[in-house]
Amino acid sequence: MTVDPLTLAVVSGGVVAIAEEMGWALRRTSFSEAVREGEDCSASVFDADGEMIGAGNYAPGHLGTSPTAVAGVLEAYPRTEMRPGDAFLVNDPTMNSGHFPDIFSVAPVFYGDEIVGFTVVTAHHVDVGGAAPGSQAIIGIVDIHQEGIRILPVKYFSEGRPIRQVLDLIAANVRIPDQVVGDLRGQFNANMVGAAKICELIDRFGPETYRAATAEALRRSNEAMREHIATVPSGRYEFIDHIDDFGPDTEPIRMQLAITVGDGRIVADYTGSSSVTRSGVNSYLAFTTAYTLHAVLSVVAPRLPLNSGTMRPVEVTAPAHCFFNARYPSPTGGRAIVARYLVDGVQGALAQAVPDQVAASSSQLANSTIGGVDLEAERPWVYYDLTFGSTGARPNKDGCDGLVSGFNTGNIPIEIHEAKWPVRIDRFGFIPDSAGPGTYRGGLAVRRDVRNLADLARLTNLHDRHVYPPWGLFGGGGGSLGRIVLNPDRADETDLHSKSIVDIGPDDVISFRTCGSGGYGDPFRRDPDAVLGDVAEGWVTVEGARRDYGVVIEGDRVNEAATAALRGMR
Amino acid sequence: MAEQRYVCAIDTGGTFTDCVVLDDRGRLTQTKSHSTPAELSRGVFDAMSGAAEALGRDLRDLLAATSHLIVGSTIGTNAVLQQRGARVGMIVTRGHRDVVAIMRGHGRNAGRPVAEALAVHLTDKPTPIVARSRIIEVDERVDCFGDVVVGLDREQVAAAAERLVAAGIEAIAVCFLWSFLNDRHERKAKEIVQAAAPGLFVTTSSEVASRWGEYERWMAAVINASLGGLTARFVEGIEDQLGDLDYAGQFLLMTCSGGCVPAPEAKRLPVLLLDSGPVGGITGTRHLARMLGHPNVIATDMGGTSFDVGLVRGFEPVRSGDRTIGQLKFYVPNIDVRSIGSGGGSIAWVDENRNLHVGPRSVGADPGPACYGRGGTTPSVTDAHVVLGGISPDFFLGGELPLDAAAAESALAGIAEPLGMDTPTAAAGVLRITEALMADLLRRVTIEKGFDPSDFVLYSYGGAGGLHAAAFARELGIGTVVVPLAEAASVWSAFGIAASDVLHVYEAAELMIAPIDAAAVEVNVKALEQRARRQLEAEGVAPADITLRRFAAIRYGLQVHELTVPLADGWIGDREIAAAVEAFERAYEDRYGAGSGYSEAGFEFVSVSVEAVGTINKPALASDAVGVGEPARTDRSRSKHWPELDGFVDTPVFRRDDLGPGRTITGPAIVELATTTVAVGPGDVCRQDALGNLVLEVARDGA
Repeated sequence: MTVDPLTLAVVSGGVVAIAEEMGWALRRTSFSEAVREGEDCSASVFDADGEMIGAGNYAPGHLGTSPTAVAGVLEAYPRTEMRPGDAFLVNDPTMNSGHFPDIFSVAPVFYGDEIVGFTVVTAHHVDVGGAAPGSQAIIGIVDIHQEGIRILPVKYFSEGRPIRQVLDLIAANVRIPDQVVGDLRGQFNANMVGAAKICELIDRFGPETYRAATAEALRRSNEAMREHIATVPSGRYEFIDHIDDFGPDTEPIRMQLAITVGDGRIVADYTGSSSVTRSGVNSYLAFTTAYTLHAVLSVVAPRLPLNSGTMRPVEVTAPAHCFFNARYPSPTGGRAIVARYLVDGVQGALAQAVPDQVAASSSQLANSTIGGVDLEAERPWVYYDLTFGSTGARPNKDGCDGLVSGFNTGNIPIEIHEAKWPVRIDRFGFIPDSAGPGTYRGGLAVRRDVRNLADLARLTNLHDRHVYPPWGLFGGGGGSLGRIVLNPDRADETDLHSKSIVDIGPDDVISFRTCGSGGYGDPFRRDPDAVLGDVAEGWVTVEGARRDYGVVIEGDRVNEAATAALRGMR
Repeated sequence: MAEQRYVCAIDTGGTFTDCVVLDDRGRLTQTKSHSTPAELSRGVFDAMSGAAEALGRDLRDLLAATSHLIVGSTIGTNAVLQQRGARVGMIVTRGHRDVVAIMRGHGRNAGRPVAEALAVHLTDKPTPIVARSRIIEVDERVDCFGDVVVGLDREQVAAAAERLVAAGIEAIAVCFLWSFLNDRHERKAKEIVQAAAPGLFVTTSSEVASRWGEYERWMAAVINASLGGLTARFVEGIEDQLGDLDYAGQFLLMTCSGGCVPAPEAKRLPVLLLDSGPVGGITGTRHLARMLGHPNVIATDMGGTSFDVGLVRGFEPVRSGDRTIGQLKFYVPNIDVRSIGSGGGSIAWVDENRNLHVGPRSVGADPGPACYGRGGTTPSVTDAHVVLGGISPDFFLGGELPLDAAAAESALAGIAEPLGMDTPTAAAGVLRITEALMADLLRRVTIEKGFDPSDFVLYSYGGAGGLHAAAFARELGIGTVVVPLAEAASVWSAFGIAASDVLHVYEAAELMIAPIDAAAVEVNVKALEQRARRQLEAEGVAPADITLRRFAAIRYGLQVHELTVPLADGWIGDREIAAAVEAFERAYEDRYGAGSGYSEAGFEFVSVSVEAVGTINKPALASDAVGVGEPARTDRSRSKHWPELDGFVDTPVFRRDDLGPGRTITGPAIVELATTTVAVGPGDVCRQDALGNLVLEVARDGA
């Protein structure tokens, strides 16, 4: 059956709109601030064969792994046993976005008696139990069962009704059951919103046209993706980077990536990388694939819709038990810091092929959690912090200061954090001289000082790039290193390891400092007026201007003669 | 005192300034004149002079008989977009200088379409609206309970003000954390700045927005400060001329919350005036919706470059607490009007994958669509209508602008070729895609808020909307389309401004967790009401014309998205609180589906608010007697393309004189008016009502 191009546009646009609608429904009814304020969630629509046909603008790690979650549920529950109003949960890293806190809710869509597709709704739950509040501890974690409750595909709604036993079992194993159960219900609700909308779409066009249109959309996306790949020079592009370590006194983790482009395909291979670690830092293949894919798409075909057709020409491989292909029971709670490496690594490799379409390395996020026990209320509390830095410089523009990339999340407002948890944010702002210098400079590092107001609390850090700075491209310098400082500017000031677990007391201040981002091009070729502007705004100091850019600033002016002389000396 | 019988409303737009005069018998007089961007207030008086002339009076005479002059504008919107407002300095809480530059880390995506989100290296954050060198930190801190933990250092404030003035700033925003719970520090700092820099425009974040969320509140204060001078000049320019003309009535300014405020309030809170023109369209829609008994209306305005959409639900405009302009998000009570770049001038183009797109770029006024015959060769939506017979080359703008059909044809041929289609098929594709984009915006505007579009009636005003309205209504399952007042539809925003009342919105944010202390709610509400009453009385509103409405914003424990529900009048006790909670639970399930509520999580009262309305008494619109529902007749016809009929069909064409109250037209048909053309689809029935509205009953899909 052929579909006219306009019906095709309406149906394929329609499923994307439905995915977005599911995301709105989830965020509006969500109970955790990670989903609601941080938008750490996603939604997608699948066809009856388990191919992703539409996705909203949400967390790339979730979306890229949603097909695996659908496949996992279908393996565990035959379609013949599914009924309208059923929904299934899964959070095992072999089938989800790489760690337990991301719980996927998969539901079949029935049109009449027939399954015409699936909807997937994913939320990052702030805590799913395990050794540390937030379930993202790294040190002392040797197997995945220390990281909280493991959910292999399990039915949790049956014909529209919650299965109490399942929800009770989950509630009993997490620190903040109200939030987790509230959000699971929100996820189910979003699944059902999606199912109803898909049925409406099918009502308008009929099941056959709907099926033919979604198949044709996949075919066209696939073809368009292959055409985009054809614009990238064929070849093999390698890139090597290092994750600092996986805990105090541990070795760096080597990332070795080779991207091969040719014959309308892109293969990203992580052979040569380190082996899995005995810690919470590991990357399961589903997660490695999701972020590699996200990065490849953003470089090669940033405007194509995300669906199985676009994804198919990209293959991601890594040897078993390599760091990037961890297997059960390797723990994985701290995998958030790996995402940045995957995205940057792809850019670093493809910079050799398409230098005008990539950016230098971006800041690592600080994703620490602070948790304690509210003795009066007899319940634990978990403060979930997300501090984002900035993005790397681009071929013709500076990086962005204070911008998330790789995640579609945002900073949680200070006034929300302070109202909810016993903390006070003393300081939140940019760090001067932290951007990687370049013809175009990287974005600035961000500092966030959090004061603990509770009696006793445990800080679980999840950060990186304290050792290996974000790199620049084509002569651009690297960004500043990240740090976590306990009690800055006090007698007991201490640098904390990026993955440490520390008990803190009342009035202790933790200063999270992200790294800066890399620059692009030779900094000595940067327009001196741009450097002057940065100095006026306090992004770069007068000394930094001289040292990093060879620009001599006197008062509010550039000393052009001295600048020319200094730049000429090199 | 002279006889006072006119309400005079002005909508100052970018190109035209519209004026509507409503007399005490409900009759409308309307004029359009060119805007005068260099000196906007002059355009206001040009428009009024035009109206005076139409009424056979001179301007002084008209003003002597006018009780209320209400002015709406888009003043400020462009200033914000292009960052052309005053040079603003900020004084902020120590440690938080970079809040407005960080933009919560996601400014890149704010207000942008999904399709652009992935293109990391192609998208940007906006330039910070306040340069960092003009933001100064001072010692002070209030905590989340409203208690002072660090006292305000007054000397630092004075020194900061002096430094900022020396640096040449023109306005100062004082922005402290938690000021909405305790505004003592902000107020004190404002006093100090005013003493140090007399005459400077100073604003505080808590006087602009009394809400959680430092970025959005501070941004509201910054935008307010940046518009202070501009607004004062505009308002004072009008005041001066009104004084010269001995105007003795009330002079009010339309706000984006859908009401109007007196001049002093407008000058203090200029952020309220942003985009008040388009909002007028929604208040006009509400006014008409009440007369026609349509509780739920989607109001659409399709002009040359954009398509604007707002909602009326339960006879009230749907409001929002925040807005995004040019990626800057800020708090301001407003009627939520959303736009996309889909208008008559939107450009049709083909990408490298041979996919057809329409917009968001537009051909603009010059050279305009190819059919204008001014040398344009780029195909636009209007050109597609000419090719398909929707627009007659001889009757565009009532025949004022003859169109070049051949130019439209050859422009469309330019995209038909790479698509491998004939020209009419490509033109039909352009319209189909335009309608899909419009339907998509309508879907977002309704469904994002949890509403079902098929529960709404669609109003279509603006010159370019009538040819599309029935088509996208059908796509969304909407049964009725109204083209308001037919020929007045082109000055609809000005009509809405004439139909508005004085409105102030007061909010008190105080988080209360169940069990809610009714006495505390009572105290907050009473305090707001007292403020509201004092303000309205000071503005000269008679007590009998004052209406106060109370609301509570309630949410489930742990959630952040609250719903606003009415709070009972009179004394507030536990029973009234319980009723509000019940209303919240009903509203929640109504929006998010049965069973989505979760009362186990408990309830929180986030804030209480009071809407204070000072009613401006207006007559009902004049109406004609309705004749029997006989069919309208015409001899005119032309060939028009109907996708539902798979091609061109000879279609009857009706004009104004063919219509009359009660007359009906069954589609396929075209109704051609001087300001708009309406397509009546096959099976649709169009009727003119007693007020002059065209009402279309849209046939169901496939029927």
